[in-house]
Amino acid sequence: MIKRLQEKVGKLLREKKVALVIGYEMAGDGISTTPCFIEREDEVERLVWNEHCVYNLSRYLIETRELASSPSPKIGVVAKGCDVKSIIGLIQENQIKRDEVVIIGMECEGQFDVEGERQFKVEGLKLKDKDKDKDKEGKLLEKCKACEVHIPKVYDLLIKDDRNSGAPEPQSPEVNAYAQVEELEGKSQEERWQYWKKEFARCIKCYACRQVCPLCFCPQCIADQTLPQWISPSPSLKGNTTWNIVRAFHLAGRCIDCGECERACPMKIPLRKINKKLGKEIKEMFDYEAGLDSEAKPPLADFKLEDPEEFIR
Amino acid sequence: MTEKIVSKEDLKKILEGLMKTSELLAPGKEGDLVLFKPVKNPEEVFFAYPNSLKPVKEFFFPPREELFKHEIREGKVGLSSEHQENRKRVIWGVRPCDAKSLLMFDKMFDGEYKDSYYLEKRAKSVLVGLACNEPLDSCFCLSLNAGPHAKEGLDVLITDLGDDSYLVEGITAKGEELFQGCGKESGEGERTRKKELEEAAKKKIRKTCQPPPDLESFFEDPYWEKVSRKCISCGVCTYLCPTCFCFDLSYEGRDCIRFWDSCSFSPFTKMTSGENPRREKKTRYRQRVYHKFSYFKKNFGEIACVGCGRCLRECPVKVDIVEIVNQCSKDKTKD
Repeated sequence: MIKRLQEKVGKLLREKKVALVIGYEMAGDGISTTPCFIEREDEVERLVWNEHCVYNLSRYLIETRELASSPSPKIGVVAKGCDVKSIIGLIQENQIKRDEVVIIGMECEGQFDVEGERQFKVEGLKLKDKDKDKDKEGKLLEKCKACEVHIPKVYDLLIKDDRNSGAPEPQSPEVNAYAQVEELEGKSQEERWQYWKKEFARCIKCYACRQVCPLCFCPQCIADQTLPQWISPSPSLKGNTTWNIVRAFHLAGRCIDCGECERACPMKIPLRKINKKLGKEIKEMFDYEAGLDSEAKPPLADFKLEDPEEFIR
Repeated sequence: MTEKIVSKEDLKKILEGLMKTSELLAPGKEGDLVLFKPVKNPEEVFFAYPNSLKPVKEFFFPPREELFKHEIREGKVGLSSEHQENRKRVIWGVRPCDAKSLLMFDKMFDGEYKDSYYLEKRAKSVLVGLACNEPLDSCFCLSLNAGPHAKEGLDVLITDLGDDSYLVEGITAKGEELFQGCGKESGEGERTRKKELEEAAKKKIRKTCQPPPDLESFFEDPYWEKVSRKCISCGVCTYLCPTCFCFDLSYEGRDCIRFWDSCSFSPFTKMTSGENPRREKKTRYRQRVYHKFSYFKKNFGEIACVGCGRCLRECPVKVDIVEIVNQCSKDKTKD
């Protein structure tokens, strides 16, 4: 798979179809990967693909596009099925044009949780050489367990998994994607408040959640405004709660559940749960799921003349 | 300087005693995280951790601190400051790298300007170090004049010798005081064991940071654009860094609040006029590197990095400042 990826990217660069390609390369620790920007054909060997390609690289599309120069203004991006959803979101919201990007879709059987690495940090245990399939289910990221897009819905090039050639498309296991949300919904208002209070209290206001998010592209974030200052910039329960709730509201109907915010959060606040809850509300109210159709209007950016609510008319 | 051997039971008794007489902070687990927190039960004190997620700087330079309040009394405006708790504070289980970082904070907050908020906390605190026997792959303290068993900045250093016995080395009088009347004298065998552990720990540190002696001529190099490209401009590296001390001030009602700020953030240098000298990401990333490896060195005589490796471990996109700094010196010698 890596070889074919490198060949295709090399070809794109050679034929000047793209100015650069955003992909994954090995990180210095020899286990993780890290985002990389490939501009020359002789650099393609840096590109890798494995179960540590957790990053949603579409986050870099807006800023990279500004750097790309003509006559090859296109940007290539290595994207998993979930990442493609946010590319669709960026197209829907006029942040990029479909013909400005070359989507190099990757067939993906799921990415591994950093749990292994985290244990390594917590207990000082050495990461054992991973037996590829041993307890794979246990290592999968939570979001991957309910994945329905092992093969991206939209792509320009598709790199298929060699192990699956000829075999049927990998099936998603029967996992309820909303299980964690439903568990919280089952609790009383007071219990939920206590739960989130404890989680938000840890927030250090590093804004990694916002910075890593492909759809947090506001030129000026409400959290950075000082006149008036809507959200207290210091970490306190009040400011932390406002920040995390405002962000979730702004992503309602837009969040594609790539889970990058939760992964990036150094304090391990379960941000996916709050975004997922709003995603669920949007689905129930508007029968809409983000990141599936670049032509669709996001429900909170649209109105209908026959809307039953008075205030919107 | 005294040395003695104490058992795990002795340590628990000491912790129990300290809980009663002082404010005791030590590493404990919170879910998957290791954080320093007030000790409620000595059993919860965690010993087997490479390092805490957050450095101990937060106890001297809190993420959010009320400096003073405005008051209007009988038509007159006045200022008041909340009384600080002056009870003795013991921070238990500080790793040598983090202890060293506080000496750098001293240069900043106890130098030309005396920061009373910081100094009060510094004066009432005793730092109990825990030597590092299992450094991580991301640790690089050895190349920065520190080490897994270094004593600099600590009041007392404990080394886990295995078999539930610990070597306690007093460094300052207030450190020695905590262990008065407990344990037994250390023997030759125990001292040898400690040396072996120290050497073994040093051997485990393979990452080295070799910044060029002078970064100045490299300032305008396109290198910075290249290496900062994947940085997402969040505050993880700066907020979890034991030597980053930048802050901002803001009013919340009548309270003047000091809180952490980060050079990674675009508004960090934004001025009232709207002008922002560090609008571009590369200028912000370069600032972080230069502050640590050039400006601090010029101002205070040493590099503002202790090699704890937190920025490497916690960066959401694995930006590796050591690689970046080392590589830049290589690029330079090539020219």
